[in-house]
Amino acid sequence: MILPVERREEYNRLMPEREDGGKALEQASFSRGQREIGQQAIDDSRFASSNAPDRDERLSSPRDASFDERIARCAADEKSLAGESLKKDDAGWRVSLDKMDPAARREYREQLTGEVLAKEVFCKAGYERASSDRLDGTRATSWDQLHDPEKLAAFRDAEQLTARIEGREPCPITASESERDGGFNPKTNTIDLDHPKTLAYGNSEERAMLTFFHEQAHAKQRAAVENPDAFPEVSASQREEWRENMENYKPGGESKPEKLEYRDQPIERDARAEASERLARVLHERRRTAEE
Amino acid sequence: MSDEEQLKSDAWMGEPAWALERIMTETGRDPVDAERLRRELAGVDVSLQAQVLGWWRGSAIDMDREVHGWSIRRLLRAGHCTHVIATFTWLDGLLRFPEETLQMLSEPRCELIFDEADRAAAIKRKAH
Repeated sequence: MILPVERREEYNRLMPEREDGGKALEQASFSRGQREIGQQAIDDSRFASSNAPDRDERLSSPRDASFDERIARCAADEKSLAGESLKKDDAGWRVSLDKMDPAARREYREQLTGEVLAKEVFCKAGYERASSDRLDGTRATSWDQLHDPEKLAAFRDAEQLTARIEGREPCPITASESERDGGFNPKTNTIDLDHPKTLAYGNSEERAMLTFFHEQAHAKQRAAVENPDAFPEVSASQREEWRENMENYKPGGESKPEKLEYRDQPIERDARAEASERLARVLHERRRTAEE
Repeated sequence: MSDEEQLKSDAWMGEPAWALERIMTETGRDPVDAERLRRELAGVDVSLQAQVLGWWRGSAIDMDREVHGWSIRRLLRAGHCTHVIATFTWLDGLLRFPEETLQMLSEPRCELIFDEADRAAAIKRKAH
């Protein structure tokens, strides 16, 4: 819009400066739901660039002890498979974890992660928690009913819980629009999810979970390489293989042979296997809980 | 000379240097990747050779011819390739190793990100 100088002054006087460059005004004609999602997208991009606290960070603050409580509650559940070994010595889940041999420890962690994610995040109670900030009082009871930013909040919640169980730093999670479904930046320890392919309405929950678990597996690989003592279940040779691969990573190209090369790398092969295993555990736990 | 003989002769793309130049220009690949793609195209299944030659010579090609449900158009739309030239390698894979290729096409695309500017640009794209 080009205005003569005198009209421009009048326009500026009547229209206060907007930090968002007028984006909110542009969105004024959107429906309420669309506007919320649009504004959340802007908030998310600000969060990603400045790490300023926002609603989602509050939802999943690392200082929040409730994450430990939620994990302990799942582990102490009488019907918990992971909690079986805990009941014998009646100790907290952290203490028991230190006593286990590496193989049992891995199995325990994976089982507990599956149970916690199935009972706390990817379930009716989890969807209700993720949508608890809605102003109209409605709550989602299924994945499809969650708004896109709420799905992102659910993944952030899942990451906080999983990182605690695995004994690593939780990753910030951002949403973007790219050619990939998901990505992990080992330098910044950040998980990135593609909005149209994972968070937008109509995408399958299982596929979104698989993408997310794949990136979580990369976060765990990075943590195991940097902090070997916290991951005794990862052998020295496997750690070395991951470290070398991260330094000589081959991104997936466009042709099939290039994609094959990318798929056969140790970190991709292992992340794929771990993501499938985690998805299977979560779905199994969810079915088991529903049957009870 | 048949299509198959032409493809195998290494001369079907014209002068190798010129062919490489064209692949590099059209797909943005470096010389090593471009040469590899040239060889991959030369080795495609017989039933695809006419398509590859047709595309190389600038003739019309059938964008909707399906192999196990996947066509050139679908591969491009689904974002597996941004250029027609790479779709031939997927169609070839679908003909030779259908199970493996279908599995690969159904998997989410997940990658390590090393360029922070790349991630920041993607976040910006989403915000706008």
